[in-house]
Amino acid sequence: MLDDKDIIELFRQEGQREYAFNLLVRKYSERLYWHIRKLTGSHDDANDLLQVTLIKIWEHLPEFREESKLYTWIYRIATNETLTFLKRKRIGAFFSLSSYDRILENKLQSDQYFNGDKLQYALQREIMKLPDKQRAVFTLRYFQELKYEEISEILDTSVGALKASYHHAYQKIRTALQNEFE
Amino acid sequence: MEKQKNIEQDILQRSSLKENPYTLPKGYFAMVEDSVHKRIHKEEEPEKRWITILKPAVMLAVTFGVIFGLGYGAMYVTGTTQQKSNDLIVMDESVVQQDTTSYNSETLFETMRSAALLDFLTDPENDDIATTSDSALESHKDNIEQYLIESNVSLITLASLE
Repeated sequence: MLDDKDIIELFRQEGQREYAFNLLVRKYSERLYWHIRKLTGSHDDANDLLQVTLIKIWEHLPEFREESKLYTWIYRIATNETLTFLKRKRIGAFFSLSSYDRILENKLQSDQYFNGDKLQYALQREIMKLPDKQRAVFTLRYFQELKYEEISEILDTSVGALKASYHHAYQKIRTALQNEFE
Repeated sequence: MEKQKNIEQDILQRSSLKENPYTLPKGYFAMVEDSVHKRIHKEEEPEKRWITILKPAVMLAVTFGVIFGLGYGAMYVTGTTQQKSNDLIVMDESVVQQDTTSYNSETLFETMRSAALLDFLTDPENDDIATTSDSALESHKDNIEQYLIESNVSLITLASLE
């Protein structure tokens, strides 16, 4: 498979734009999907947001200046789209006098695509209780194992703030799981 | 050694927790590719002109116009519209009749008495009243007064007779 630089070059060639984009979709759609899915907790929402993200990539790739790595740029689009979506949902839930954390938990409970054990379920449940941006920090670090510098580029936050945020989230989740399972 | 022990004690360090607990519909990513390509090509279609956007609404309005025109034309040809105006007249009469019947019995009786008086005065047989002698006229006057007292005609009716 071509690396990101080659894909961008191909994208800029006459008549190769769509082919290059296809390569990009094949390379990143699965990773992006799981990233979004862990943030939203729902397949349907993740599906919509993934498609919106890919279309945005298609639209804005000609403006990509290569000031950052392509994959951090792509992750930034996906994360921003998802955080905006969650914010909108929270506002909607506020006006309908319901708790969005409870809605997320219910989605996880009724998710037909969840196939984990009790401990895995509890972990996902605790992740859903985190504030949206902290959830993004935690999932990018814990599951995707990205470096803080990369997460810093994606979320446009200092490395120090990210480390503190991750540590706080980690402690909170660990305490909750230990209280439940040990 | 101590670090290893801490890791073993840390529940979040269990390898099973990093495994993905979610599954996906079969062929999902191929479907995403297709769907995204369709959406991209759709968005790249030339922007619709206002007439294209308004076309369905215009067509709907024209359809209603045609249906109304045909319906009205058919009614005009078959004379249903004339029938309708006749119906209106009949209805008006019935309303008037209904209004008359809505009088109470006292009012109706009053009206009937007034009508009887009018009949009496307009009857040619009574024309000789004017040509008769003064004594006969006085006698008729007495009769009329007596009649008016008995029939309890209202002052308004009498005023209208003068």
